[in-house]
Amino acid sequence: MVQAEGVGKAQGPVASASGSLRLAGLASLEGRVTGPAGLVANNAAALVANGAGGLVANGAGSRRTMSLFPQEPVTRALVYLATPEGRFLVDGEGRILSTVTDEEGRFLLPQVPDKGLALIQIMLSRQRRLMGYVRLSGGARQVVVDMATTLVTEALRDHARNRGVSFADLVPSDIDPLVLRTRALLNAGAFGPVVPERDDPDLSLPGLPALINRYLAMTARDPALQSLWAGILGYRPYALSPVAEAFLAQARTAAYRPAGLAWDEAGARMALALRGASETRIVVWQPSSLVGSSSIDAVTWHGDRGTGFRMLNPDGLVWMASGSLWVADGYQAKARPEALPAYLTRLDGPGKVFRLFLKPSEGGQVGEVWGMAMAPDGSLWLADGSRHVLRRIAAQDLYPAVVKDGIGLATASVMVGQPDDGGWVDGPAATARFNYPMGLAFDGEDLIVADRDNHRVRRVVGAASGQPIRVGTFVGGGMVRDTKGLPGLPADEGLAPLDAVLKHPDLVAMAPDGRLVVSMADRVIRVGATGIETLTMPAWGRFAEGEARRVVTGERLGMVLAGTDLWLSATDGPGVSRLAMGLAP
Amino acid sequence: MKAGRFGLPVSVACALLQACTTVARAPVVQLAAPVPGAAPVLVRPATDAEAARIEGNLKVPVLSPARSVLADGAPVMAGPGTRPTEEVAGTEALVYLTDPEGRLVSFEGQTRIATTVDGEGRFRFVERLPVGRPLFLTALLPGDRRLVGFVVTRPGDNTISVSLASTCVAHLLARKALAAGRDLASYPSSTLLELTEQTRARMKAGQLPVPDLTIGHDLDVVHAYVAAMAGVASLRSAWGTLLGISLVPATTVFRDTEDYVTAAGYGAGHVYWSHSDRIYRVSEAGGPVTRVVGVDAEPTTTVPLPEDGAVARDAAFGPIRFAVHAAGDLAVQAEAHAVVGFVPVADGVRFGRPVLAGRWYRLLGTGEPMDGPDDVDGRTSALLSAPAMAWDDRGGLYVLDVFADRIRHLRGEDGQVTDVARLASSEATGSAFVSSLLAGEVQGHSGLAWRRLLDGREQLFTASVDRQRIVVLTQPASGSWAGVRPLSVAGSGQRGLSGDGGSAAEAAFDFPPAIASVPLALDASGGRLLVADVGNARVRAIDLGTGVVRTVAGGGDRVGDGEALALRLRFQQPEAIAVGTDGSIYVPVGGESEGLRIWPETP
Repeated sequence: MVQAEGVGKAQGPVASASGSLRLAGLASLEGRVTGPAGLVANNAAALVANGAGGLVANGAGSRRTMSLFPQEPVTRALVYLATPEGRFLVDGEGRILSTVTDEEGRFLLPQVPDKGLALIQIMLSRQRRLMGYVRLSGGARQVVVDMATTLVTEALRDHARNRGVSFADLVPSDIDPLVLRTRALLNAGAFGPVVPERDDPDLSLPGLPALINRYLAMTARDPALQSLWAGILGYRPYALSPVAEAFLAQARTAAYRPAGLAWDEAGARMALALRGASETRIVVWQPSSLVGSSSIDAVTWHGDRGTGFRMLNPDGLVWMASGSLWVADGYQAKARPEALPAYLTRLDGPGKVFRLFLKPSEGGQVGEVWGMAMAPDGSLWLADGSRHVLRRIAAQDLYPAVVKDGIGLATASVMVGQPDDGGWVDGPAATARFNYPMGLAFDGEDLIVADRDNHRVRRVVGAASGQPIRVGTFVGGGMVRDTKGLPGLPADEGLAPLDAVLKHPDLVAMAPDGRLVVSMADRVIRVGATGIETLTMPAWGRFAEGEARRVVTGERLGMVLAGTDLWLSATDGPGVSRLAMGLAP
Repeated sequence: MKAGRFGLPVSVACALLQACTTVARAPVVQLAAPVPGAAPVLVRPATDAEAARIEGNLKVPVLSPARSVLADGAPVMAGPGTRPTEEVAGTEALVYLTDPEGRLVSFEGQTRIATTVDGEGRFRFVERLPVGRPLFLTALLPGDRRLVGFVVTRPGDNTISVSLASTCVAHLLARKALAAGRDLASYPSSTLLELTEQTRARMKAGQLPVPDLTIGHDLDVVHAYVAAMAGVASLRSAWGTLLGISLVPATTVFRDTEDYVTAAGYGAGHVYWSHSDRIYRVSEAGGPVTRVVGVDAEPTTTVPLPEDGAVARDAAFGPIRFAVHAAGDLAVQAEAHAVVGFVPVADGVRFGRPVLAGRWYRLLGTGEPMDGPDDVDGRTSALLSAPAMAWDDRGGLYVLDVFADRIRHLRGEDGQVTDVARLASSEATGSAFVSSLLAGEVQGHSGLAWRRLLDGREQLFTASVDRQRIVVLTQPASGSWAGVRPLSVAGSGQRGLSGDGGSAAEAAFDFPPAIASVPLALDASGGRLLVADVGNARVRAIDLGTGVVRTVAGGGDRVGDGEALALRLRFQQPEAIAVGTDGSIYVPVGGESEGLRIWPETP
């Protein structure tokens, strides 16, 4: 049996034999080690063991996938046993239980402890390693160590470290389903291309965070595996991937940064605002070219230069069913003289620009318009942040007679709130108060509002019903407090919507299943019947893509749902990215 | 023919081993690519006379026993960042051999390629090994850590001590040798032993922080080791001689967690820096940080200008910039007031008036940015904005008034103001510098550095963001600056990064338009102009004798704490620079606003 003394007490390696975990009982462990061919490719040439390549060759230069590697025996590699805490397992004479794989990747340890958890570590060249673990019991045990066992074991160890719990307490009693499903995904090529200069997943210790990040993102491809991991992690891992990187990299070189984002209703087109140092462009993408392609088919509908229709910060974008695109330019109020009215820009196609000046229904001017949402009745609702009200432009006013040179005029009536009187009051429209409303989305006839400086999301009940309007608070406790919680798990995870900590929510999107997605300063959450679910958060990883909670997403200026995918645009990080939420419950 | 492993003739196996050796000598940068060779199997020597045996002992660093003994009596190995002074026998480790590139080696005909240390930390490989082969011994410790030793096998017994010192030496040697494409067997063992002993002595003196010894973090070990050599000239010299290169460590001298560092200076053994509205200093040897200018309160730009004689550290100036005199006097510009003043480090007479240490005295500017006549009395004279100032060696001060496009000089003896170049009277004075200003050659925000030539003439270096150039103004023998034309010292005129190792005048720099001032500094000898190449996130040095530019820090990929090899660091935009009397360069690394000391190269 394994003597437990010393375990958990040591803060580091112990320089005395008293802490070693000695073998007492008798059992044997027989195993077979396989790895991707890239890892063991040098064997073919012959002399030796476990070649130099590293997982998927670590810089081999090509976008190769795991599926391209047939699993091959890992020969003449050093095998040793350790506890999950990193202590060696030793035999009765104090020798560390170790051996070497043979020419067929097999190993045999004739005497191992007869109970307890053991990590089987396969040390390869350049300090890379494969890993598996086994629950020891009396008699002979047979194990396989390969990429699947390595990914599962390393991810479990990483999670145990993050949570500050012991590996033994954390792991499910039967990890076979985890390993089997992982292996099936790997064999199907799901690990995806490896771009070494981006995240360098690798079997070396420094490469492990990237490897685990990539693996957990991969689990989102298999709902059953994703659910198994959700049971362990306490949250469902999603994959966040950059979109149209080559296009955006080119735009970035020309000093353009992604801003507002919108999908049309049919999912046929995506509009993206690109804010440049001296010009703003609105490009429209065809979705067929977005996924799995390095170039995209983009058409510029509008560029400021020379048109006389200058956009400063086109953060609000919304498509009409007619195929027109409305652009709100929230910061314009700061740059325009008091006497000049606010405006929206309507694009009816490439180069077809119409500017709609807004006449308020009350005194003064329309303030900074950010969010917009198209109501079922065809009217356009606006969030006038700086004046703390919601406005509405009637459907018939959205195509007014042209006053002069592509310019028209419409009334933006105050529907909810009192101009310049910010606050947090629920109730009838006239007495309800907002504090810098920004993002808007319709949920049937109700309007959902990201009420930024109240740190809440509000529901305007019956906004599009033609009936009296009432405002209620929907999500958020109004407090900005520490949401750190555990690594990767904010403190309000799973809590009721009104207990959510919303830090300046500014974008909202409504999913077809009735769940609400809220973007705020530090993260994106989804709110449903099971409470708060974090989708992205201040990265505790550092990755450009991968498991969504480990990805650095930057300051978000656009967010939209299309089917079960959440699209985000941000000034930095990957620019535009897609979070596949799948059909997860 | 005798058959070797896998049925290959021994001669073929030997040829393949030869191929492996060739690979082992390849530059380290090629390691990321697929390696066509494979890890060697060590072929058993034919006779004992040709064979080497390896045995040794493992020593792990521990903190002083009083602090580190567990309840069961086992000392705990010192962790990262701690400074151990003792070692004890490591008794739990798996020891195995690799080639210099980290590939496991195995022994012909053996099923075991690793061995365990005994209760006294000893280990022994029973296999007979080939002679003359460079081998690394990895002692794998619990917790995924490892210590390493290095040996070139000799006939007979080879005894190796694997320790923290040997780990540092082995990692540094391996990295540098592989980068240079040099055979590890070519380094003299006696020198390596001596270096290891010197390193161990540093550890025993508590001067070698434990690096991150986790498997795969070899580069961290190298950085920590080189940083630990800072200030130990003998050890750095010995390494320099062995490797044929100079190791330039970077160490942290201050951390400013409040704000970005916007200016830096050096004087009288102290490093100065400022963020926003305060100036701090710390001894170049470290120690407590002192606030010397600016009150410790919320920053504001709407404060009245302090009266002459106000205690500088209790006064609010709003945003400030500064320059440090070699003796420690501070020239301070209160930006919001468009005033330049000074804070003397000691009581005495400066600029013709009696002053008290640590007090503020106005020197140039009326406090009304757009007002005031141009008078020889600086305090009634207009000043617009002076992002750059430079002291001369007689207590005088040069001020670059960038919006007014002129450089003014305040004489140290009496504070009298003269213009090096002056826009308003350019026609009258015929200043070629001003003509250059008008022609746009020197416009834009600029830095300033001063030196005196051996013949007594003075030179001013300034930089143009618009032109992406550094120019020099050389005072004629007459002493008057009239008629001086700026000559280009560095910068091709194009923003970019190029030219290291060549003529600075043809090299490209990147000075972003947004920066307030191009950080320039001359070293104590005046022979080297240091430039914070802000956009390229590097420190570059221009040898004013040869005109050659090169990068001396930055351009690497290492972020986080600064303890490292200077050229492996990655800066953010370094907006300040200063040089110490020993040639150390002080530069903020950005981000965390950590101030780094880039140590001078050993001769």
